[in-house]
Amino acid sequence: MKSFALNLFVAVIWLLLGQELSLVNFIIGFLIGFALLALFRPVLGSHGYVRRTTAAFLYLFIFGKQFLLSCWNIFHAALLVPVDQLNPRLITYDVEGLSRLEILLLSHSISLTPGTTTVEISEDFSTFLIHVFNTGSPDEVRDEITTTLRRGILAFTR
Amino acid sequence: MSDAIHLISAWFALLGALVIFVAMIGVVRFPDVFCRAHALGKGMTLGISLMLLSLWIDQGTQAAGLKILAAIFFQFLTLPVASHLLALLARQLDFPRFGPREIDDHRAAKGAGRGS
Repeated sequence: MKSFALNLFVAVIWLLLGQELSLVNFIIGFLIGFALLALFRPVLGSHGYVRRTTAAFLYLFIFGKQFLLSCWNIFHAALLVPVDQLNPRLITYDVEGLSRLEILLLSHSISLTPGTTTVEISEDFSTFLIHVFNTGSPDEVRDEITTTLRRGILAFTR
Repeated sequence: MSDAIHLISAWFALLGALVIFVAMIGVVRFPDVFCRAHALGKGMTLGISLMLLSLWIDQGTQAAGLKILAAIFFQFLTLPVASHLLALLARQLDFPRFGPREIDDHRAAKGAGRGS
């Protein structure tokens, strides 16, 4: 939190120094502040902040890629695959040990990416019921969720 | 310059319309509620985002500011919730489901793996 305030402070200073108040200038200032925080990590104690922010942006990138990919899959299925060849099914996914926020983010991401929709979360917040759309074995789907989405989310929430 | 911007924005709008159109074909063609929720959740999110992006390119940040970016953000926040609720309701009311009846449980799978 302190690191974020510092980052914002540098951005505001940059805005004051520049000629015009504009969004582009603010973003430049913010990036400069972030670079400074990354450079002087040991002094400012901003290890966590820098790591989390880069992880969050990395996750945004991964998520975008997965989202476009899954859209492509759905469109392919919608236009070209005969209906009786679809193979939808319900599977469960283990989310034990994740915090509420992580569960929320993960279920949101699952709803938007690889051909899956979260259907139900068990009462004790330990398992998802996921509807899988036209994919191979359930274990492959679980592995994909674990390696892409779950790892990405845990990288910046912990 | 402005011609090029208009052209790009028109292409984005067309792409968004096409995406929504294909998603709606999916909604008509898919066999059950859950599959339709897929088409709805993903197709509409991408389609609406593309159309809003086209509007943003057309208006420019001077006129529209970041409002449209916020709109896209909220699309991503709310549409998956809608598709999740559809699926949840269908599950609770036990609507007919296409495909294998049984639920593939990771705990059962693990137990079976250990047993054999």
